[in-house]
Amino acid sequence: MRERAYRIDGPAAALALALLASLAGCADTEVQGVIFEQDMDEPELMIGLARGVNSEFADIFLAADAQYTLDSPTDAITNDGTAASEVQLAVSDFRERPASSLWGQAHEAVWAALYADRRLKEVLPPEDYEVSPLFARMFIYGAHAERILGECFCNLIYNYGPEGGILLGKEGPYDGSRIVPSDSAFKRGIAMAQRALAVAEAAVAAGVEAPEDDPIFDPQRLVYAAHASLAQLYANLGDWAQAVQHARLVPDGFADYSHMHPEVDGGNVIADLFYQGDDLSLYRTPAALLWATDPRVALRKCGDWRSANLDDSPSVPPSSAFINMSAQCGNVAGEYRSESNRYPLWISGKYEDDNADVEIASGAEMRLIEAEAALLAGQLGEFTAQVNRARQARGVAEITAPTEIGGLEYPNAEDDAWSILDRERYLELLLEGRRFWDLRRWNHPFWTENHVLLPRHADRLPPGGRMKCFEIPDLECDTNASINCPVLTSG
Amino acid sequence: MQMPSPRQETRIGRRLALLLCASLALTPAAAFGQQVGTLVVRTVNGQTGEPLAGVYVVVRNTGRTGVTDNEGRLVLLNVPAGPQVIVAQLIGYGEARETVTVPADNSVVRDIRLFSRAVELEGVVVTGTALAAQRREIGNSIALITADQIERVAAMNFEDVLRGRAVGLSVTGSPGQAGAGSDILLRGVNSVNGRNAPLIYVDGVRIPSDLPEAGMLEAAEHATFLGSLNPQDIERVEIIKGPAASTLYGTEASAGVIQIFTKRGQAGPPRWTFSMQQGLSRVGHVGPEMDPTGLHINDCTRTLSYDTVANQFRVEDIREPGCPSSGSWLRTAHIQDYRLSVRGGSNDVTYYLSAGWNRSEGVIDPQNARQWTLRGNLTFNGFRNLQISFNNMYSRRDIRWIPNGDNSEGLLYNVARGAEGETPDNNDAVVLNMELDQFINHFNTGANINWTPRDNLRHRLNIGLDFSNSHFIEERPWQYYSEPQGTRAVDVENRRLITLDYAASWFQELPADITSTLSIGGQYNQNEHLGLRGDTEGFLGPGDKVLQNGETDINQEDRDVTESGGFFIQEQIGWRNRLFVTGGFRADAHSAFGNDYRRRNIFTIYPKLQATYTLSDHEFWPDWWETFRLRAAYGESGDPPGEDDAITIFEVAGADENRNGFIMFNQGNQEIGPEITKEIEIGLDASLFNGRLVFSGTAYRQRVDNGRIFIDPPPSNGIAENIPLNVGVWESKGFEGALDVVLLERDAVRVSTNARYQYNKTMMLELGAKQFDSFNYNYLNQYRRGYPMPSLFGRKLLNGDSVGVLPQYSTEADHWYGTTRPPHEISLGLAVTLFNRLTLEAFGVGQYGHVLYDDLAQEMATDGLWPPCIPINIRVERGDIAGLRTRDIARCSQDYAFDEDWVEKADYFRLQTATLSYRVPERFLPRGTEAATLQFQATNLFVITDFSGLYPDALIRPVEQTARGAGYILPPPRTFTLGIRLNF
Repeated sequence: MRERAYRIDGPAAALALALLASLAGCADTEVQGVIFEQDMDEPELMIGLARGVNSEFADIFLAADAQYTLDSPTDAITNDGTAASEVQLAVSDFRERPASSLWGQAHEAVWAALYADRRLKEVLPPEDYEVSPLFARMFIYGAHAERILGECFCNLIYNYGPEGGILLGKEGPYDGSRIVPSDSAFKRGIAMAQRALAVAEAAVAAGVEAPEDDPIFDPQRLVYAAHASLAQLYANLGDWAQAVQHARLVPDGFADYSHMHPEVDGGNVIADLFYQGDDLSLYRTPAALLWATDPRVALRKCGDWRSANLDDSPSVPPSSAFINMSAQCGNVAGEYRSESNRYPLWISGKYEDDNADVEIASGAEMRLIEAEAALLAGQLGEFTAQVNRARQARGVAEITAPTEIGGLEYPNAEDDAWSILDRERYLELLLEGRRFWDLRRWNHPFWTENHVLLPRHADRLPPGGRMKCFEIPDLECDTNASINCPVLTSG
Repeated sequence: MQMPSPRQETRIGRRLALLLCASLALTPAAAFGQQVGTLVVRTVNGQTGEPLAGVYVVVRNTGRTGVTDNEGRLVLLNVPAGPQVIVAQLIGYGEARETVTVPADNSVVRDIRLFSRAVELEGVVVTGTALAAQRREIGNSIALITADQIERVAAMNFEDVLRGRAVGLSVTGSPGQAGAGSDILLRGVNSVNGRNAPLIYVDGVRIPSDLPEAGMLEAAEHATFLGSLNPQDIERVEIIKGPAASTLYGTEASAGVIQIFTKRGQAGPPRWTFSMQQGLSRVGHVGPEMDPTGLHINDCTRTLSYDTVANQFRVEDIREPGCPSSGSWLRTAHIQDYRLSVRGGSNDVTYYLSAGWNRSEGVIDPQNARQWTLRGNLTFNGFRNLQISFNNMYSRRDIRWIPNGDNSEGLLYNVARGAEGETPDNNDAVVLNMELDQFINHFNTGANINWTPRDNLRHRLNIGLDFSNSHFIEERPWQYYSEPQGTRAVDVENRRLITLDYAASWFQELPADITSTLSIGGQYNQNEHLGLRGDTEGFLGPGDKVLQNGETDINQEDRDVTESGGFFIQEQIGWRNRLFVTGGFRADAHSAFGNDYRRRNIFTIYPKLQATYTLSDHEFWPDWWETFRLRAAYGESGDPPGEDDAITIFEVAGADENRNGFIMFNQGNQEIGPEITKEIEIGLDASLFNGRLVFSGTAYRQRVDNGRIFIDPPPSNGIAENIPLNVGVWESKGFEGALDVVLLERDAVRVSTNARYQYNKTMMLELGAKQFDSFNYNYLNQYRRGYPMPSLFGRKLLNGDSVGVLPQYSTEADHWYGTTRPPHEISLGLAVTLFNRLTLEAFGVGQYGHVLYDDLAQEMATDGLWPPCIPINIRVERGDIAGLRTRDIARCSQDYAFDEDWVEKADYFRLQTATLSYRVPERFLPRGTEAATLQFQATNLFVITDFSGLYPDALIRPVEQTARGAGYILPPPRTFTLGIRLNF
């Protein structure tokens, strides 16, 4: 009987243990109400991922305030915010390493495109993947994000390697300590845009239609968008031959956008600060002072001096010194003065509301790239022709050909080819966050001569003068154990 | 085989009896012609006079043993005539010895009194062991709280039952609202982001350790699931405090384990127990003593103001709008408690049934808490070698909270600020129109199956279900002052915990007095959670509301399930019942582990190694020192990741023109694994002078090398969301000592005292990422490398002791003010029993060595409202600082009064309970009544502290449990209760 008990007990215990161990081994966590990575396993769901990249890219403009951050240190906009950080931005004092958000969102947009590509590869049939407009769209956004990184930051870090992200980084080479010059972003952007172009062209050849009839996924438009992105990136690298080659393939009337989505607070930050606040203004910008009638400026004066200009007044002018013209601006807050109450508020009608999309590439810009290439080659005729095509695309009267190439000066003299190009790019790309790169790459006198738009900003310039690019931001320095960010003391 | 010595005989007999529930053994002494008699033993509680069931009785050197029935009786036949020594033992009580002369062919009745003991060195425990085991076999410390101790505690909540009764256990917070609970930590802070609450089992079935949903919102206090238990149902509580002891529980046990055992039936006729308590509670003076109005809480008919001309305070008869008709926001609250239980049964089936109802008014109208509890425990012994117990509990709590805490709709916030509060026209009564109702249904059922097919082979299977359903309703009625159209939010939460727990143990005697006990076991736990929340606003009229009466509905639903489980193997080698060495491991899996971690570690292994040596069993050991034991234990256990830590989740985000896209919301870390705590402890247990001095001491050291920290990845990685990584390192050291001394023991007088002391210091060694210079928590609490966790930091006041000088501070906020968790905790108890009828007990607890930030005083000082600061603030405003101490300027001037200026030492000692109980003489008892005890109890009679806030243990307690701050919480009330307890 005792023996029998043993034989029964042993298997019983083993069985119970095995049962419990197997239960434990199969332990699973269930969370309802969320979308898991593995839920996105159907081809028809991939458009959601592509739109997610769209959303992440738009965050560069929405959450990261790209236009605000990049236009404030230039002559494209007057930042009269009263916070110290706003003044620092206006005088290119980047010693406190701002632009963390811009840095983060741009990297996230690139990573999102890389991640989504991995899912596309896993989910789409190979033949569909090779001609996927979704892929092309995502990678064009990624290329633009890379361009923005390269245009505004002095140095970059490529932690995410060829695949991107901690999640994916282990799949490829990873060199977290590598601080690279900013033009490496243009090279990475080119790589992305070229892949996008190849797929978009294949989609056109295969007769692929835009998924869900959404024009942002239209293959032919994606071909143009890829060429436009490549033209920008090659131009940024100084490879004008390649830049022109791609720019020529983009029609005059084409435009590609960062599509703003209304769910995000703030929206188009420039429009938001025009209409909901009074931090930003066109007051004292060349756009308002020199080219106020140009339709690309679309100047609206919400207020003006009643009599004398009191720009240099040591004290805040009384409200009686201003004419309130805010009704013309559709400004519900009735603002007619700048944030500091020192200057009239002038805004642009370029963005009618805070959901207005922001152009990231256009046929007009392509013409100006061709014009610049011609100028660098000394071909003033071609230069003038391309400038006029760009102007025609915007409904602006043609110019006559300049007689000399000239040079950049500030204020802009308007009578030579470089001044014309400076003006045309300024106006064409106004309030799109693009002026920063032009000032930087041209070593523009606005910066080199430490001009300021507001007189009271003159004594706020950093000791070494205006800084020309953003350093790696604090957030990266604080979290990336493999780099040592230098201590910045001046420009 | 060597014959056991008398001492060994006692202990081995105890082991057999208590482990295997041995029944009466009949030795046919009469068969050998020896004269015998009958011995009737009645065991009673020496302090209450109540019969004690389940007492193991040995007549020394006769082989006669037995266990008393539910009336405390035991009849031993055929006891050799003549003088005999009777030894009576019961867990939680000191051993009692009596000499009795047994008459030949006759019987003798002897009452034996047992007195509860604060420190227990012998007996059988089951927590942290494979199956039931003797304490002498266990290398780790284990704390025990017995029914007798629990029944004599006048507690506002169940956590108060535990407070100060077990070394290594810290109870945080003394709630001011009825129905609120406190937080429990074992051996300090165990985790930064993980669970710090111990696992809690009731009769082998796990119950939730965290809080019911939404319990921390407007009320600023919370109920706990432990509060569902009726303390009178509890037989004993076993507490193991760290991984050295909790290895066999695996991944979720690094914060320790509390196991609660409820009462079982005893064979015999039904034995009823009825208890009733009536009492009053009241909060004393609130706030600074110099304010006679007690921040208007005590007295709202007068107003304290400062005469800036005469430079003196003035109390004016200005009644605050909304002031209750009594002239005080506080009331003398009524407490009532009724409990009835019955236990009994046959040899085959025993039962324990109980019901309880209590209602406690809060000290501020309309706050109150009501509770129903029902319990039914059935034990079936009629099967051969098989015992099956079914334990069932249902509890319902209804709590009406009042809004409090640091919020503009809190009562204390507004009343203390007088006319500067946020209520319209300073009518603070309007905040009480907010309805904060919580209902908690809690059902716990389980089956314990013990199968002993052979004397040396045992199986145990626990199957259990714990189900709770809680509602939290927050309603601002129609025409509520801040939301005229009203709002209503309803949180409903269901939790279901399933416990499967199997263990088997095989005992073998080997040559050379060596024994072997091989144990195996496996556990599976499932935790299902459902949360539903609805919000609405904009009612169209008055009346009771439901969600659909509002204009806007916001619904939220959370559903998740986590599973865990594993198995263990353990081998214990014993030598002569003196030396035991135990080694084993637990292999565990958990659904929250990352997939990559699981691929590399199919099971996470937690090893354990223990040794214990009872030196006092040697013949050479002096008789007056009956127990001396050395023990050491090493073990590991874990803390699982959060349920989302390893899951990559996407969310829907707006893309172009309202078209949605998927973006990453949470990046799971597939490498995430458990936070593993390693612990080593050494200790000794000693009992001297026939149990009149008992000491137990333990030193321990814990270390976590893979603490879970949420790291913000470098943005250049492309992911903005933080990621949990196993990179934190922290270390804890501590000591725990418990002393129980019988100072005087005579026929008419017995005086005993007990003391407990615990020390814990937990240091943050590594936060695991470049970004962390420090890690901020609530109420200024921070984790910083090289400092105790959590601690308070801030700028240092450089010239605090100067006079007539304005404050100067250090530039950096890196001055360490101290830890907010008390490193030193003590408890002291004294019991005096006179004439076996009258017992006076006093019990106090203290916490030392920590600091707290006084949120209320600081904010009121900032607003120029903190009464002691008003004159100083006015003088500073006038520029008249001559003679003012700089530290006072810093605290009181509105120009300063920074957070760090209001960080103070928060040491305190308080008299937690004072109890006077009287056992009514039997001759006065009605027929059928066996015992009656009258009991008068008082709690929180006084506190000794220099802390200037409302109360040093009335704490703001974030859900994380580790951070602490003071302010905006009502002090715990003093309670006075008169009770009667009848056995019939």
